[in-house]
Amino acid sequence: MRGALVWGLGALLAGCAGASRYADLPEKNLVIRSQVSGARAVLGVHAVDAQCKLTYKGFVELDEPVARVGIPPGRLSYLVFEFATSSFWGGTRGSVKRETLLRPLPGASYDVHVSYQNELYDVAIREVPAGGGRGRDVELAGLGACRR
Amino acid sequence: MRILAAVGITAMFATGCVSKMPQTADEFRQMAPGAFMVAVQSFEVQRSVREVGETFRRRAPECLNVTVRTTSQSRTSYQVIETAYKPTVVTSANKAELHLQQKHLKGVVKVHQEPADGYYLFVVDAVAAGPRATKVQIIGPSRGYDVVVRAFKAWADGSTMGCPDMTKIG
Repeated sequence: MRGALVWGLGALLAGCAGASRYADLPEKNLVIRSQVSGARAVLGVHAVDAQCKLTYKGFVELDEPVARVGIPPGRLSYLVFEFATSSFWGGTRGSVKRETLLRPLPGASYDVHVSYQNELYDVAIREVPAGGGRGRDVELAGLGACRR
Repeated sequence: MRILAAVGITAMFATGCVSKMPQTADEFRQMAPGAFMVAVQSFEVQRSVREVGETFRRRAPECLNVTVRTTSQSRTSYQVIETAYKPTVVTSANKAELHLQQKHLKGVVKVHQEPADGYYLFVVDAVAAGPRATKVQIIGPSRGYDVVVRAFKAWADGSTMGCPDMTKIG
């Protein structure tokens, strides 16, 4: 019941915003593993130009445990992970977001862990270089980092 | 319930015949215990105070420096509350502190003089209790803020680094 309500809210929000699904790339360099309960998780993808201006490219529903997404390598993108919730009895709704700039390295892959459990949420990204190796944790950087 | 939580900070001091809200973390420590709807929780974690402080320093700005807008709607009312939260972390060799202030920007009438960054909502003190042990004390509202308390406890014991969904307050 609650899941349906959350989904309904999400669909409504997406519809209101005129949002469209992200036109994915053939090369999937993001592997997003989601553990989400009590919320609807969505990834919004934006392109970032040289002036740090955003162009919305669409959204990806994170409603499966694993999603594979292609983000243009070598170019700056802005990823917005949004968790939307709603409560039926209180008529209350809300959403929280984690956002980051990401310029994927050509050939590298990115393990993204997205969680919303017990009303605690987190997004963690690990970069795995081309050919494997230890990789590194990617620090999430807001849009303000674009001008630095 | 959400409205109750919004006015709770004022109420918990005002009902104790306190004419002045705490203006600093120290005043909050002195005035909050024993006040109406205030809880003081103490526990020990098996991590060094340096680790606990590092977690506070890393997570608090990312998770708690937020402005939350919530809407509540029923058949007869529609309310928007906008609230800004401001965390402050202070660390030293044997202690780590996390203060959380709350400032209502919209939807709640101010009753008392508040500090520039808002009312003190929580003060968390972590004090070294051994090389790998830290005593943690959380002072804050006894109701409505469970998700924040869960996050503080998890950050202190290192079980999860997740951010609290601040829209769940209340």
